[in-house]
Amino acid sequence: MELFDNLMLGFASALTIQNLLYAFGGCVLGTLIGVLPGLGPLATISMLLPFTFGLEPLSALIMLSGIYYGAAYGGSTTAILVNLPGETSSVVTVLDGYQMARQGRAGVALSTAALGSFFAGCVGTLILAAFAKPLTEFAFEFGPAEYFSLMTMGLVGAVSLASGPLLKAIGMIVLGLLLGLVGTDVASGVMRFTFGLPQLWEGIDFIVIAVGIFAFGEIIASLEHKEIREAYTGKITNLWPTLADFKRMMPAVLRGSAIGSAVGILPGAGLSLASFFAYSLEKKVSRTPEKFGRGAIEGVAGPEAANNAAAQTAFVPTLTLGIPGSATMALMLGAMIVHNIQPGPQVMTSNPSLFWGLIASMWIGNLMLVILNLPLVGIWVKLLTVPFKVLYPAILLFCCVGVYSVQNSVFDLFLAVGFGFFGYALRKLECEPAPLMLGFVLGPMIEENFRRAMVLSKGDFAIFIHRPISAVLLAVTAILIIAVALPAIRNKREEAFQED
Amino acid sequence: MKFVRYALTAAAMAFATTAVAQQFPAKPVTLVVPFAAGGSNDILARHLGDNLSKMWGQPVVVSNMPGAGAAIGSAHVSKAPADGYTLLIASVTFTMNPAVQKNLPFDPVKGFKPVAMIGKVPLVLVVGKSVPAKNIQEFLQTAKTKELAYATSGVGTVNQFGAELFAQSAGIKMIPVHYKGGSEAMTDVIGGHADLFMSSMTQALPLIRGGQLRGLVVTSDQRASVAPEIPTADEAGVKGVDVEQWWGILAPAGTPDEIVNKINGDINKVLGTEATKEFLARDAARPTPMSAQAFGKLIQDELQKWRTIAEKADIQAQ
Repeated sequence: MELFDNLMLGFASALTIQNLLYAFGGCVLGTLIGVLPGLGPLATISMLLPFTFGLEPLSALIMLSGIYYGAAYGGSTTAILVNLPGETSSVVTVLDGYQMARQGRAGVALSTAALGSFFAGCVGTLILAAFAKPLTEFAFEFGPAEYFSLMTMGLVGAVSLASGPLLKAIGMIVLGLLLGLVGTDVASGVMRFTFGLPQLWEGIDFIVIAVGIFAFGEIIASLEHKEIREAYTGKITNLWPTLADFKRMMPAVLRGSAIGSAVGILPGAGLSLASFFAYSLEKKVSRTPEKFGRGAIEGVAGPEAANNAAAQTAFVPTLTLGIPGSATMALMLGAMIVHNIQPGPQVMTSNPSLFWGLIASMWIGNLMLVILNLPLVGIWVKLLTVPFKVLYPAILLFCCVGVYSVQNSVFDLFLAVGFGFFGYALRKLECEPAPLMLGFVLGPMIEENFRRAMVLSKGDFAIFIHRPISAVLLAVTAILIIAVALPAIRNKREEAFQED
Repeated sequence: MKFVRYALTAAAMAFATTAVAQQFPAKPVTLVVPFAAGGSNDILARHLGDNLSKMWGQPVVVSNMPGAGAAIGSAHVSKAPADGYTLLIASVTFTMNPAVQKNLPFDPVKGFKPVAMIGKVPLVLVVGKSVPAKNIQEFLQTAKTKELAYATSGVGTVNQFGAELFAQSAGIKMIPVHYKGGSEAMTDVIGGHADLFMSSMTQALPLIRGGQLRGLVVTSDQRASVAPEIPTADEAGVKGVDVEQWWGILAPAGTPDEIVNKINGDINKVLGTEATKEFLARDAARPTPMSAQAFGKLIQDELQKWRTIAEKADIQAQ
């Protein structure tokens, strides 16, 4: 009943006209930057932070968090419509979302993403409200050994992101791992592949690669064709999912919410990992895995649910301990400090109306987002009829703003252009970029955690098996490898059937 | 020819600077923060900038130039015109990086002119689940029976230098475990995966209060006002552990003394206000105003000190 009382307090604080307006403003802004490729919540929140200094602390936090989870919502839109992930977490939404759009099911994909996000956002918030404390304890069980095993499992799962040949997928993962090496080695301080350029000391930013390979690469590739999009904008069938669609997406949304909630709690993981994991799982449990990458609705519903659930539960370590799980969360804590609230374990008891008000605002925000996004589906779909020559320069502009805003660096822009040509080459070679992105994200984490675990165990490899969580994760990884290897052998026989 | 030109310029400058200093600033001043917005350097720079611009009647623009640790922003300021209109907010790591990194894109001594010290905050040695010690004697007992692992927020950071200085002073040996940032490092100490962390007081205080971490000693010569129950290392019997996080303002080398002293005086005025004391107290820090010359001496001393410690502990990056 205590939870109920707390939530009542929260809603009482969040349901003032002023706070509702800030929540709405944050959600609208979040959706907008989510839709715009390259421009992410991190840059937006850091730009807006100085403007929130004059607000009430709760209003400021409500607005900033609205931007954060609103971006996770809006990120799917450009992914589905124009094959560009609007947010890092929507890289996998591209895989099936864009294919659905090509089949005239853009509206279905968009509303699936919105409904899935809404459901998952509510679940994530509920978990945050009810189990924040015990979940924090669980997150502490994850040390370097556990993170290493978890990331390794993710890396093996990355193979399933590709719908093409296994060898190419593995090649792309390795390439991603290599790109992840660029920068200062955390364990020794040694510079790797920095070519004497200080701009590369901190490595390459995810946004730079994602915008380069996906957005710039796609635009270069599209210059080869003449307005082929008319071909599939003409046959938009329905905007809303049918009953059959619902039956397929509901289990995916449930699984995605569960995975996302779990991954979000771990400070070292992040939203993109949640959606990568969810996609891998959907493909694994599906009876028709060959449909993935060709417009499977589960491939949109699962990852979108996962990244929104994770966006909510990422607040667990931030709020219960004052330890930020990501750069964006660190900014939220910065906002608290500016307002003279010391983030830490005491926030829950010393500022209960702030803590519960923020949580209550997340429900309200999620509701606003779904109300905001569903009517927009029709409008977004119309965007498909905008000719390339208008749409693409606009996208290019926003991408450049986004890339520049990460570090205020012109160097990053040139780097992104370089990756654009690289992305074009990948398209020509029919190599899929999604596994590369996952390799790039996971590689550094695997290496860092492996070396940390080795230092802590004084060089004893047994640490990975002696720790129970790590051992279980490694066992699952082993099973995954077998599961990947077996169909790969079987597929060789079936290849002939698929070439129809 | 070159010499004559320099001599002429120098003479002209000496003549003109007094007048210049009186008029300074005649246009907006840029204060470069070599990190992204939202961190402690940034928040502090904005507070200082607001107050200076009120005093000067000219806007002080805070410009974030993150990248390569703090090297991109620092290099930018060292190459900026030496007229006092481009300033850098630097922290203690400014004196530590040169000890571990050979190829910095700027010269920490020849590239800058120290202007003003802002404030200091002590570090605190915290332990989590894996070390049951309640005080520093128990801690040293444990450290002698097994090699403890201290978490750092990266090679050559203040956390690593603080921990090494402590180890060298106490005559124990510990191994570093490097993390990408202070939060990750702290999380693993709470979880008992790594043994200790030489944390900034700001970050650790709420977790000490919440019981997730135990603070054993602070590294300043006096106890921290926010946590007076924690003894200094000196009081606890480990002599010579003198390391604090600090922030200061630097200008490009060659900035005229008159302008430097004018800015120094104005910053010290800001530091003397109650508002600034309160502002720094939120970070468990205290204002430490001093002359530009004293600040320059402090930087020289620290550069030397960290070089010696890095050599002894073999901290280096290629």
